[in-house]
Amino acid sequence: MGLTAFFSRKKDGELHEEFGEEASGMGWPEFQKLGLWTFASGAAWLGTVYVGFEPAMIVFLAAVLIYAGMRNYWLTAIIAIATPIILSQFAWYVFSTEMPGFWRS
Amino acid sequence: MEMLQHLGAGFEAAFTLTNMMFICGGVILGIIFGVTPGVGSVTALAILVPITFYMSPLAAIAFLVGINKGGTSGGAIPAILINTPGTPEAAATALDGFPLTKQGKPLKAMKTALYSSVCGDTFSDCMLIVLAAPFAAIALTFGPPEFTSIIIFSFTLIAALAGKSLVKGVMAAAFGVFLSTWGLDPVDASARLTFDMVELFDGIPLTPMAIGTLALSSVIAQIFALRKTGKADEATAGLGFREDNKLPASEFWGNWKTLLRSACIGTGVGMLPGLGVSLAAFLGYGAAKRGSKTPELFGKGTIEGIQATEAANSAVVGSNLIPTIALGIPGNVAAALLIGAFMIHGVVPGPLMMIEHGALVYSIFASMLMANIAHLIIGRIGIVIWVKFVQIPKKIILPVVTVFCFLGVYIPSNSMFDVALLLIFGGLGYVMRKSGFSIVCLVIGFLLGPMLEMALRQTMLMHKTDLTILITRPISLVFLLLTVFFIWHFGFRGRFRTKETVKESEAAE
Repeated sequence: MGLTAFFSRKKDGELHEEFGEEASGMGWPEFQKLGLWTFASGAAWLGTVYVGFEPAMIVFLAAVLIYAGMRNYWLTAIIAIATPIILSQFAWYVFSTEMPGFWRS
Repeated sequence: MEMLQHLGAGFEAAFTLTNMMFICGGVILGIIFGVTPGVGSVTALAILVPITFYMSPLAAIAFLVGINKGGTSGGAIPAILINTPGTPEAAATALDGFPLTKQGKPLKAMKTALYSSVCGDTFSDCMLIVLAAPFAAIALTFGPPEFTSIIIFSFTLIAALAGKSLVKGVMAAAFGVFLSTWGLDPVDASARLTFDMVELFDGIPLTPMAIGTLALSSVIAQIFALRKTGKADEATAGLGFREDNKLPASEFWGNWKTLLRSACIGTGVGMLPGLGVSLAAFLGYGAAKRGSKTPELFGKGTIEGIQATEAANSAVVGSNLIPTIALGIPGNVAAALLIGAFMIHGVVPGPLMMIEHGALVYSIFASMLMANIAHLIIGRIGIVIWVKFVQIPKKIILPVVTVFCFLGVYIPSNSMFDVALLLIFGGLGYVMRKSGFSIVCLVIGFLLGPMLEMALRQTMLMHKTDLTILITRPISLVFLLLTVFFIWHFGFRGRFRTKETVKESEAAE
């Protein structure tokens, strides 16, 4: 399966029916993006485990927002800071679930 | 007639302000939980069952049933709006729902999903009322050989869902089956590919796998596409024109055969313990595509695809209570939690339940029918609110959904291992999307693999490895013959016809 994916190059008129133009084949740009995702998600996971959910997600969310094209940095900061805090409070008060954090017992 | 009298008495008992409030509250909570990727109605039920201790038995069950109904259809909302299924069963809804959103018809897609859900739900509730009592005798005839044949038959879905490349679809499904074998052997408890990790003893959990491959990979692909296109102020397709988002009754009911077929499939799947809501959704979609006059439109934004999926997955909710009430055997995890709720209130599901608690049972049936009406009204009002999300720029909503996926996977399990699996499967799903492998086939293989293994091994143990039992038992034989027919008709014959058609068109040119 991996070999088939590696050798799946885009050919005109042979795009996968299910995914349409999304199935562009696995070329060097796609491997770069996969590498970027691996790095970003790995860093977010390690940050969550060893630091905490809120700090890790604030950094992760800010980075992804800027990467996706947000150029209003004040709005980016507000969304990046508020979202993880609101979600962790939601998890606690609704689900009695404590998100990871070194300051929590 | 006696049943109608009992049902009338049930309506009389259930039609109270308190009961209606709990039903409506349950539906609203269920939709909210269903919308959050990874959470779903099962998590909601698990958390809220203890709260029902303080309620009357009728209000408690009505509340929980409302959550189950709302949660099952709530997963369709993000599936349609941002191609991020809130629940695994909504993955098939995304196949046609999201293309409709891209065409500027999100309202139409969501209305279709809601109305189809309510239709499927109502159908299965009616079947529950009619069949709960007589089902006990039939259910006892289904054993491991029958389940083996049904699951083998379900693998024929791959032919319908693999798209142009059947080979890639089969490879994806085979990989899904391979992933499902990880964990402790269900019979002798030997470790299989657990890498000495305790977290893998129960196998790869479904939630991170499904949310990662179906939802997170879509978000990742869309974020990379946003970066590539450089459209910094891009919103989604928007609400589109008012006329495009209308859903005439003639258009909706024009596919009544699809609705009925999917409702029957969902009801059938729900009646058989262990098969699950996701399987019903994919079976309904596959059957609709095979039976449609325009199968080429599936996956491109046809309402028939949404109707098939939503009617099937919602039909499981009511029929799941058939084995639960008749035999005391839960149809799936949600039904198991409902059994817990029953027992909290001193009601033991099983063959004697209809005799000892007949009035309560019929009141629950009445509450379920009323919950469908509440679901329709609340869902219709909610569509107007949910569709506003379409106007939020993708560059804001997609990163936030990523964090929601983190949370949704962490909450049920309290495990960062599951979050790691989510991220890994997100990357795997991205690779599969880019290289043209069907993620839906992967998930089907993952769902069906353990079921097939368990049923087949039980069959072999019970019948001393004599697999001819699969063809000597009549129900099993019927499903095996259907399997052969579908493989021949929709697999090989369909492919040969396609190749001939291509050759003819090339010759004509």
